[in-house]
Amino acid sequence: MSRARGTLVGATVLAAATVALDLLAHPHGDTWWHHTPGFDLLFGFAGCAVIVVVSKALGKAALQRPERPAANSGDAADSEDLAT
Amino acid sequence: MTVHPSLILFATAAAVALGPRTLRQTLLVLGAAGALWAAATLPQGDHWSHAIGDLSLELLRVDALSHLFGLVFTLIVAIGALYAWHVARRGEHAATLIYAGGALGVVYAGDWVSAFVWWELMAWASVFVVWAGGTPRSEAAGFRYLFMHLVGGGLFLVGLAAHLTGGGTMTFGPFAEPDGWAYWLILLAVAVNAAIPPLHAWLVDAYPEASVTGTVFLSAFTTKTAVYVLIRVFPGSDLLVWAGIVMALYGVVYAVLENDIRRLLGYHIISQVGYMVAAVGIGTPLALGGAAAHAFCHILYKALLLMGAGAVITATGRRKLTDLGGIARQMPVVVVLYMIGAFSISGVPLFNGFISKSMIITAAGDDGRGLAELLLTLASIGTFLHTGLKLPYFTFFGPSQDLTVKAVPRNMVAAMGVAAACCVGLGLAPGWLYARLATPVDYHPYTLDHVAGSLQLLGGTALAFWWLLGKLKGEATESVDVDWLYRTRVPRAMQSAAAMAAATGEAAQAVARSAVKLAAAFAGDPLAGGRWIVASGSKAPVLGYDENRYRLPIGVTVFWVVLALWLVALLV
Repeated sequence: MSRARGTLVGATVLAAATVALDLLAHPHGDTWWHHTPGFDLLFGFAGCAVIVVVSKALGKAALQRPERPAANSGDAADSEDLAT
Repeated sequence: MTVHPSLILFATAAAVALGPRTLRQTLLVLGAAGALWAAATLPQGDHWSHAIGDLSLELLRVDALSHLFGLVFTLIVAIGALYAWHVARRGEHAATLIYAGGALGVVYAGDWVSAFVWWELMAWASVFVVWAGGTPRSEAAGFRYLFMHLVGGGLFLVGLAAHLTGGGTMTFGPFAEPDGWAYWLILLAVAVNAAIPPLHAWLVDAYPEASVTGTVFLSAFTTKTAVYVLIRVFPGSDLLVWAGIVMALYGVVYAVLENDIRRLLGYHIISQVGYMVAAVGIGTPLALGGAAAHAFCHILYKALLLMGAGAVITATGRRKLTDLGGIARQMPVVVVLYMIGAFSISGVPLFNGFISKSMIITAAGDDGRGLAELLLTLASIGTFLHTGLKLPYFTFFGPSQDLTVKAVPRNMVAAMGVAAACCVGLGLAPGWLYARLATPVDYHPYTLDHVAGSLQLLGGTALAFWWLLGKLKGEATESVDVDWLYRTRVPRAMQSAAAMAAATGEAAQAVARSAVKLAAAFAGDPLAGGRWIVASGSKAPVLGYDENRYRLPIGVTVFWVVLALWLVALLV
């Protein structure tokens, strides 16, 4: 079994175990997601993917610009270098 | 005998600054330990009052809230002093101790005027901590930091004047009328220090430019003092719920893009403080207790994370994810201690973030704020993604960069060990912290559904990280944040305004010169205009101007003079 496959199988077993814990637990809270077994697992996976994809899209669209050499040492990046 | 912990820190600052080099580090650690002892032994209910004229100052007020913040502030001073044991720069040590003393002063202040004075002392001293970074970048960032905190201090002062002249009480506490000018101005001033967007950029601009030891102290005091003031003065302010949620998510988004490890952790300070701000806005006893507990835990685990980043920078001289990787085998103890901080901030069960962050998220749900609960949970996913997975993977475990790793001073590792022990200790025995909260809470973090939910959330995040690993590696980019406006656009706008003013001046001078030239020409030949008009309709030769030809007889001048004298005589 390859390392990646082993990791995937291990993660799946652990995930299944935590979902089983959900079934045993007495949920705290009134909203539907507190009563949905495995919700947090899906939310963790989907939320992480959304954070990465949305942040990267924002970065590419507006928030990121190439690093200037000055950013590693001096402070020239504080004025004109970042302005362009 | 009770001693104000700030006084011990100020005395230590003087001793460190003026004392012999050989005793400097010893004095630093002894003074920090003395302040911790003083804070731990301050009896609750103690007051120091002093009147100056009509001003009734309360320089020391020890209640449950100030006791808790005083305890964690002095604890982190002691841990930070151990971390900075090897540093011999007396100016930096003195500034750091005064900064910490100012923060403690705010915490123990019982009246508004004292709180403001300590607040400003904290701001000014912290600028010197930033400048102690000793690089051109730290110098420039320090000036921008100073500018923002001067603006915040100005708002605080005007708000305080409005409060006191409007009949407000001197007691440093909630407003009787929470809608006046004083309320909003002081809230805005505190928002600057709490780094609520868009007033946050000074934090990620300045903190990473301080020295590796200075950043640890900076991460502890300014924003947490603001959280203290929010809990003390603005509990239940509904606006803060959404401000906190925005903070929590804002930091997460920028952390995805960040390549500099200390800037990445800086964005997570904003994110974590967002939880506390939101909790203050929710305002229930569980939420307020959660805000205080999370501030306590956050100071410890964030210092641990920044100490880990500082150890990496000290060992490798690198601070960018793109320049790091494959160093875990050379510094295994640092990796383990860093991961304790990462698990703590991520809310992994058995670590301190779990016992405080879950209070806030639960409080949001209990208060019927389902969307807030979900969004704060989403932010915690981002926290684990960056500080628990991305940063350690690409710093310690990622592709090797064949870096030369120097040994990290033992005192730095020892300080990380103490902070890590505190994080684990609080995670294992949360009752110690809950018993010291100002608002008694009946909260049990280790229920099956809490633990299962947290493990699922972390597991789902880890799976997505593994899936998206290629997208998450560091990129040699810089992020454009709000500071971009005042770092680039404002200077450029000022340059444009100056150029425009210069051009306007030159144009005005040119107009004035033309006018003078015209007037001179008219004085030299008053009939030139009329002659030009006449000449344009006739082919007759035009004569030049001869002043003798048009000069009036002397008698006319005498007539006007006599007439003028007669008029003057009449009037007099």
